[in-house]
Amino acid sequence: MSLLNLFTVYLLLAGAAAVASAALAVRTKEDFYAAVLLGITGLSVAALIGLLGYTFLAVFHVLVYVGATVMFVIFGVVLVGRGAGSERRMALPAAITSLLVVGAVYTLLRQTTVSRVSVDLAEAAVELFEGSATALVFLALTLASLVIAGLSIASGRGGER
Amino acid sequence: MGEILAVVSAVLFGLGTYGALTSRSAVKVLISLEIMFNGAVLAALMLTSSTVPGTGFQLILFSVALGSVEVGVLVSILILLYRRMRTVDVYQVPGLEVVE
Repeated sequence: MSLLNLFTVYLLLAGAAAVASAALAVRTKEDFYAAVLLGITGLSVAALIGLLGYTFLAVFHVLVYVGATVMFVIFGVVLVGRGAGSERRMALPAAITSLLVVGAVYTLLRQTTVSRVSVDLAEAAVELFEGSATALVFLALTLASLVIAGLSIASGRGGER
Repeated sequence: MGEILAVVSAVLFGLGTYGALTSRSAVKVLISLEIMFNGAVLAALMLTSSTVPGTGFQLILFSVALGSVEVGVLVSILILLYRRMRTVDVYQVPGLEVVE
């Protein structure tokens, strides 16, 4: 099997895993399983990002998104317990809307020419710290405010009825 | 390559939309929105890969970090909602409940 074919096989496997886990996450009744399946979707998307050539972003996605975000969701689910099921009356309108969204996004993306990229990390770091320094400061402040907001809300200072 | 990524991105976006519209549980709505976020990340990387890969790299780096912040705030709000209402059913939240 040539290298190109093997690459396509990896791409197909990662894509299939992402779609299957996302479909199961939407369909499952248990919120906990949905959160775990969201983690698998995140890992699959990270694999696709890596295959596209953004290896650093793929690692970042696994560490920050799957490692932190999904874990946060899982612990949130553990705290609030069982979910509330789904609304059957919304199934048909939601399915039609989703199909329209899929069609629109696919039409937008199918004409895009995609090529494997090679990002120079040293150059990207210089650009990030010099060109987007202000944005980085705001991001750090946002992360700090998240910690403060999370702690104050979860500790119950919002007041119970 | 582009065809596969376009299909995956569009389907993730569609599945997220379906889940967000049909779920009663606020946690499932959040998870569905995160599935849509994954589709959007793939789409953004596809769109920038052939023209400005460096910009796409920075954009997604910030997006993933801000996505984490957003999830943190939302999970905190869900926990507060559960403490006050004893439920995470969005149809029972005052102001969002179904009027027959």
